[in-house]
Amino acid sequence: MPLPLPQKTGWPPFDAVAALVDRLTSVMNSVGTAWILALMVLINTDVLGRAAFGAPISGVPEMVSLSILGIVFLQLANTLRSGRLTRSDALLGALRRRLPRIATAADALFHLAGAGLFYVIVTSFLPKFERSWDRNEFVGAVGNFTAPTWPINLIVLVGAGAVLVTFLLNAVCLAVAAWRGPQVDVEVPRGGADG
Amino acid sequence: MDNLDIGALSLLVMVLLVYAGVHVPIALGLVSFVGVWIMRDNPVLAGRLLANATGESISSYLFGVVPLFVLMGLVVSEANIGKDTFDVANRAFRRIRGGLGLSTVGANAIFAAITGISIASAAVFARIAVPEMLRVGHRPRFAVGVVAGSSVLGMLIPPSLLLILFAVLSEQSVGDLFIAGILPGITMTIAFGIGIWIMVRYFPGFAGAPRVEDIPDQGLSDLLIKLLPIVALVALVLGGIYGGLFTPTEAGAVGALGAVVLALVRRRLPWRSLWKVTIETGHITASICFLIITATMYSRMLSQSGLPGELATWILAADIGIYGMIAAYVALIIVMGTILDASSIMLIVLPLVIPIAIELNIDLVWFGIITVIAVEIGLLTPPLGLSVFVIRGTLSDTDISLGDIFRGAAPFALIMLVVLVLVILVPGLSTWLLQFKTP
Repeated sequence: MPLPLPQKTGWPPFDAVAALVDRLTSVMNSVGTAWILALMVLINTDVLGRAAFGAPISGVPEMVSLSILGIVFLQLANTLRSGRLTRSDALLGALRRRLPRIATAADALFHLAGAGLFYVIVTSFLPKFERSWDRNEFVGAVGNFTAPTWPINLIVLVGAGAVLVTFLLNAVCLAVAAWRGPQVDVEVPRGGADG
Repeated sequence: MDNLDIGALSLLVMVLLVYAGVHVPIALGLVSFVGVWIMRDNPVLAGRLLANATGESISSYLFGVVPLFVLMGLVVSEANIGKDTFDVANRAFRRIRGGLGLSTVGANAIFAAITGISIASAAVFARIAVPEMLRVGHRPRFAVGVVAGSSVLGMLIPPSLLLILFAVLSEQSVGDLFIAGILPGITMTIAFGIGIWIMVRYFPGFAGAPRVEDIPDQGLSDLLIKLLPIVALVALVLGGIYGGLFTPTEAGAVGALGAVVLALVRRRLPWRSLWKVTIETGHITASICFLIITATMYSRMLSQSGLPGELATWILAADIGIYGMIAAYVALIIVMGTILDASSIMLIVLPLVIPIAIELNIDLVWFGIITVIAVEIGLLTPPLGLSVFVIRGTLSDTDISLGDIFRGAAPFALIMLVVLVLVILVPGLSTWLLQFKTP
């Protein structure tokens, strides 16, 4: 069953930073949400334009393929913070019932591992972004529809950075909770993301 | 250590990490990074593999289907359209003893044709069908078992998130997999119906003794008003794909907008709820797509190690044949399904198994249907059964324990196994409809 994810450490300066990061990621999340609705409207307009007026919107496939990457990275940090990133918590949950502090410490370590992976992703993706910026790379066909790729690459970079920070914040909160023992302040439910 | 050893070791480490509770995509990503680092002795190269997978693997037109079909499914759940299908099915089966169980299965099958996620069906029908079944005298275990069992239809009958995921991982057409899911989905629906009829008739200790109620006739026009929009939505989405009118991505967009309009017109979806389900859609999309990104990292790492090719050669040499291979594969998935969720299993297993299946000349569309049914059996098996958890979370009746739901679902898991064997023995069940598709 869902593992608790403490959102506070009780140390005001840290909690203030964490709250600020939360605000930022939830704004990014809202932008991504609006983007999904916009995508739906865009594709419908294209279908209607093609069927009814023989006038499709050019570049819809390119826009969709860029959008999806943007949407995912805008929402990933908030997804993680709401505990919705896929994991199997059966064994950790069982450990938690017997040895709650050890389970929480292990969870802190797992979040640190997540931060490690995202550190690699951010640093390795940076040259990709720089190249798309320097060379002004684009998708689509010249004369029909073109869109530069750097804005999306920037979103990926910023989004991955936000996930990195969120993983670190979660790791700290969990480590503090493990250190203090079982008196967790705020808990949010988590669950799997599919099925 | 040669590359093959590293590949095999990485697999072991990854499974251990996932079972221990590391986030699945993090385990996949880290193992890929370290694996390539060791094989190439170069961390920068390994990092570049991660960056390329991040930029390339989901940035395609096809992935538009993920948020759109998820949104469609969540909107129809939120807008109480499940209750409409239940009412309609109830009218059809009301004179049969145990008719409510049949209605639940029938309604689930119709509902499955407009939603692509099992948990949506599980939540909706736990709320509306379980109290009704308890009221007419079914045992609680049977009532929750029917809901848990029939909720898996959501993933088999198109549109289906798992079929989309399989299509992406195996580079097959989403439309083909959707069409291939139709007949097995109908077969499963009928098998559940027969199972329920047998349970009610011969195992009253399990099913309880339901009363037959004479529900007053609802007006036919009332029923039509309930049924028509749903039929229209199904026809639009599946007909559009089948007739070659829409790409799956377009069908997703049209279906999602159709569902939103339908819900808004019926005043069942306040704007605030629309925003809420879209946020939920985003979270599901982000976690699925990030899983796909990391699965790409992992499958590229695996192919660099040469493990899938070696395994394929080995299986060919062992001469266990297609059916031996499929039997082993299904057993593996069902075992993993006891603890992992559906998409994680597919992402871990498929990068390894798809090359083998190609080597053995297995029809990948057929293989996809087998995979999805096997994976869905895992949704009903303890200790981790996602559908079961969702039902427990939705029920207000606290007397029904998780164990009750698992026990109630067991006969349905068994029926699924029978259908799975049928789908394996009769490939035409999956592939027959494909020949009529407009290209």
